[in-house]
Amino acid sequence: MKSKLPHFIFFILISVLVGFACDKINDPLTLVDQKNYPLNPDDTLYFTDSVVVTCKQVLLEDFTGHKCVNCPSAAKMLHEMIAEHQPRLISYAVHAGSFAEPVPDSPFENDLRSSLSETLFTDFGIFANPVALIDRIEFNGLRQIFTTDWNVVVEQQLQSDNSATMKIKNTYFPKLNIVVTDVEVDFLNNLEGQYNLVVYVVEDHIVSPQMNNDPTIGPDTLLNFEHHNVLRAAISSNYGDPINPGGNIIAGSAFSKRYSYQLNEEWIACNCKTIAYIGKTHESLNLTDIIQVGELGIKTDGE
Amino acid sequence: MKKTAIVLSFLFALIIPSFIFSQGIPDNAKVTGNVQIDAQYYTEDTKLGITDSTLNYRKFGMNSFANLLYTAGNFTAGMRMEAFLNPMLGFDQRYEGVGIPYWFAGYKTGTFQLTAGHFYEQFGSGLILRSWENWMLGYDNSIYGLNAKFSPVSGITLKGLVGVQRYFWQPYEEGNRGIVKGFDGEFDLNQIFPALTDASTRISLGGSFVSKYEKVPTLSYVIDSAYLIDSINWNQQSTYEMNLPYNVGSWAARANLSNGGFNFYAEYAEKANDPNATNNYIFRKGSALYSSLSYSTKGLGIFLSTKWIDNMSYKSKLTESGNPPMLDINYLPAISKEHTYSLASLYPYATQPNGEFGFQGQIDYKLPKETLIGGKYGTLLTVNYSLAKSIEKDTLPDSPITGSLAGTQGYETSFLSVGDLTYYRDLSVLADRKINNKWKLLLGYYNQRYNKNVIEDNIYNEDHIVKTNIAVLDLTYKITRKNSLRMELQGLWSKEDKGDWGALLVEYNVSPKWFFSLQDEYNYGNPAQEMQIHYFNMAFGYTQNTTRFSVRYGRQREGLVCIGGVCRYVPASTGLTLTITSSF
Repeated sequence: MKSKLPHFIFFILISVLVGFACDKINDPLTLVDQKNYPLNPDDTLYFTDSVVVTCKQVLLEDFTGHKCVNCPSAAKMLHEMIAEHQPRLISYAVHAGSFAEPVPDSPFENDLRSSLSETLFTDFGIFANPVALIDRIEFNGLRQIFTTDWNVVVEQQLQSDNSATMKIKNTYFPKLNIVVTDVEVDFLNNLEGQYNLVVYVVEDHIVSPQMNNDPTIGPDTLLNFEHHNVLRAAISSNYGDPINPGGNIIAGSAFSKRYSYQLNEEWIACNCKTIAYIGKTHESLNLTDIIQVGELGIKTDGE
Repeated sequence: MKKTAIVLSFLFALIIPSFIFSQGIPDNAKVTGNVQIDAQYYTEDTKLGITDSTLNYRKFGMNSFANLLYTAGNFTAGMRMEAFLNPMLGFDQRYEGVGIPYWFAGYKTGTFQLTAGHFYEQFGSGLILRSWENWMLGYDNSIYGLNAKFSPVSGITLKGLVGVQRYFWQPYEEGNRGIVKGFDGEFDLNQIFPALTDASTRISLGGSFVSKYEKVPTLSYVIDSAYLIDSINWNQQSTYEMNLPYNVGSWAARANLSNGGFNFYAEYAEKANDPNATNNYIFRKGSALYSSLSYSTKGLGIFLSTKWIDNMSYKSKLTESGNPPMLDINYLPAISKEHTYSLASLYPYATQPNGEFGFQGQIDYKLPKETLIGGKYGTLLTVNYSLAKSIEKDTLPDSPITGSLAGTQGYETSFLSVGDLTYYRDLSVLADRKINNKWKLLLGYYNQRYNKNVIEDNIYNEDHIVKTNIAVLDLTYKITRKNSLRMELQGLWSKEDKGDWGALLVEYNVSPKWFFSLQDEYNYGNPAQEMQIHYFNMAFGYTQNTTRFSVRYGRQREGLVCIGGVCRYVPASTGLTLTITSSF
């Protein structure tokens, strides 16, 4: 019996590991998407705009915070890069982490964070500001890319093959403050793996104080600093919706999806934009390797 | 490429142990095997509406297999080659192809036994795990993986397994079916405890745990609701996804007691929430109870069994349904009698996994020989009664999201409740008597109720009950020591479905090599006059040592073929059938 004991324990352990597994489901159905749209758009007032992306564009996710003293100079550099590569470099500011926490009874009491920003900050292990994810690729073994490498990585990504064209159409219904976003994607190459379509809403031109240590930009506290493309929320789920569940993408295939989203009343609708991108699902990081991105403002009047 | 790899692996498994264990071919090595070829050539038959077009121009069908088993001491390896070129009528066309769907290698060292490759296994009565194969049904849910057995002390047997199930010829890939894992323990108390060794009452207990992991698909439901704002119609479109369980677990406990001629067996099983295509995606847990009590003594045998099943369909792919019932992890024992005679098995019972109460009782009594009623040689009387009914279900309201019971608990029921709906009832009385050295007689009467809507179409009502009375006369006349003549005369009377049938079989046997038979089943009472058809067959067979050839020509009627409550639909056909079986 004694000599059999190790066998016995080993056998039981293996059996327990393989045998006992069960998922108890308490809520069988989950609401994953909700959209509102007029049954007949001609019945109500709406404004529409669209953009078509035909060449490879690059997404730079700028992790920042209003207490990050180095961030204004990074923002300035980014602004120049965007101007240089217009319209192929698209970015939004992810206010998250300790540098983005509001300070009550101070100039920094505004809260530009969102639950989505915090999720991205945590999931991608952001450890410093300013730092960026560029197309969520790895550069020198890291996805978190410092400002010194932003130009290099952006240039590299701009040179990469274009795998998809994308059309974004925003239809804004002022009476309900709802934007309906239609995204159409045509794939140009065969792609292996599972890809998701992600749509976020950002707000531009938010004027709010920002700490600074670059005298060429201004004083230590920039009271009227203009924050660009602040990430507000996900219109799709945080890491998007499956484009090709269970199979690879074949060149020539197409995908389209409609989203509907009611904007927060505190946001200025005419400053809001939708940003749509396609990325590859990743075992632990949810979504990486962005192959295409597009940006479109929300048109709120007839001009 | 994969097939080549499998064959190479098999050859590797065959050869390498010879070097490892004995550095040569062991003296005790043995190779055995058997082969079966079933081939049919189909002809057009205007009466049955069979044309080349309805046959899809496949005028020839062949199902065949060859088993090979190698044993050398404690090492065993085996394989089965199968060819379905094309699959015969009534077999799933996804079987078409040729290959080696089953191979294994195993060894036993001391009290430990391991099998790698494909294997069949059963825990208890199979309520939560049974992997089995039946060639006639075209059913095979073998597991491909590892199976270990271990007996740490005398009287304790532990089993553990992990693998994926066979699905026609489709290789396993993530997402196309689940992974099955299981553990079972069997404890023979009389062997474990010395004080009970000589006890007349034998007791064994057992328990099992089984779970499956499946990369579940996304099931979405879209709900539109209209609303009005400033006289403008808007629509709110909500998309819901079903939270399907990746892991579905089950457990079972069982006990077996025996004393003298008595034997009692009981097993209870539960399965966690398992929404699937069979139960219409309800989230209710499943449960089942199976028990049997038997008594046997010289001249008398009594067997009683009962089962109660609630939501126990358990497959390794939740979207799988239909016929043949593939990817079943468990087996729900059928407790209806499988009849020998063709008209008595015209309306067989198929287990209803969504809910069923079943009872079967059988008494075999041999009237003593040399008595007035028993006759010179005695008479065997067999009375069997089988019943399958619904269980009580208080159906819950439909989900407003799915518009059906999907996504809800489905219904409420009380354990061991019996519903009003009869699925199947079968009473049979058989008397088998040897009259003298020349004559042997069997008389049988069957009274059956067959709920066609439930059993064939999953429609739970009593709108199509087929009531039948069946009589059988089976007479054997021994002409000489080697020559005998057998005649079967059967009648089935029913006012429902296809009406009355008559059947006659005449068989001439020249023992042990030859047989010749003529058979006709005549559906003379079919309400559709054009379907009052003779299903005529003639056949002969020849046996040489362990090889048997048989040839049959004629019509085959459509219907269900059921074995152990698992059924296969067989369409009507006409043609020539060749069967060859051989073993070595």
